[in-house]
Amino acid sequence: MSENALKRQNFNVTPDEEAELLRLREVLGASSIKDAILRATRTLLVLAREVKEGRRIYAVDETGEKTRLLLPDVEASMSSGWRFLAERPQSAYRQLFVKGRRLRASTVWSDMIVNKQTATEAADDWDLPMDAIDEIIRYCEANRELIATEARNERAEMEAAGIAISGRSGGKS
Amino acid sequence: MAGLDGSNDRDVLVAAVRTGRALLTRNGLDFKAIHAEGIVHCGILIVNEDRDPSKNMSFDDITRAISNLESSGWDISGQVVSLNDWQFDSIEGR
Repeated sequence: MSENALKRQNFNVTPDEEAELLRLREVLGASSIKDAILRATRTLLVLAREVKEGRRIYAVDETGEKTRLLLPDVEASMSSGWRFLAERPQSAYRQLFVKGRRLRASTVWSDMIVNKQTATEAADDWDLPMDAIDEIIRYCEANRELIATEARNERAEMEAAGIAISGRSGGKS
Repeated sequence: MAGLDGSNDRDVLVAAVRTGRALLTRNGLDFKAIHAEGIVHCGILIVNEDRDPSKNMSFDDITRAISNLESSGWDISGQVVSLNDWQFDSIEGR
């Protein structure tokens, strides 16, 4: 990397904070405090991504017993107001998914509409609590435009890739 | 696929390949992207959504489309197929 691309980061630390940074450097076996901070940052980003996708972090001891690791700093910043729904960063879809699953909220919602399912039937079908179904309906009704736009984009991308999506069931699609 | 709920999409496709199964998904874009990486698979069947949710495929439509696809005898190995294109009333109607 050229010298011009380098940027200086200046910040003051208290003696306690400096001690923490030195401890971090020692624990990680890092060559410098900068290296320690960068390593810690990367680790935290991995954990944050997992939490953002609705997963929980556990430590497992040699007997297989699991202890949940609470990450309040990370978990508080990830709160979107939705209890059962979360973004799925590695997905091409921006709409929310059911936390910890590859299930888009709109899939549950549109299945209910098309198959004339009750909330109870949908909850049984997808193995979700009733509160999650209520939240999915609220989310989808509040985000109809996003869901419609993503459906349109999905079709356009499929057709651009040469995948036929005409739909032939008497006027559908 | 049972036991793979929290897994990433690539792992799910790999599990399908390992068991010799085609994969059915509602998240077409995500699996199209994995297919584009060149993974050898037994077929990816996609249910595409309509911008009007009332026009989406019902469970019966999906079942009929899979049946039509099977009846066609088309080898879907390595293919990405939209089931929306196979939901006609019978194979003769295609």
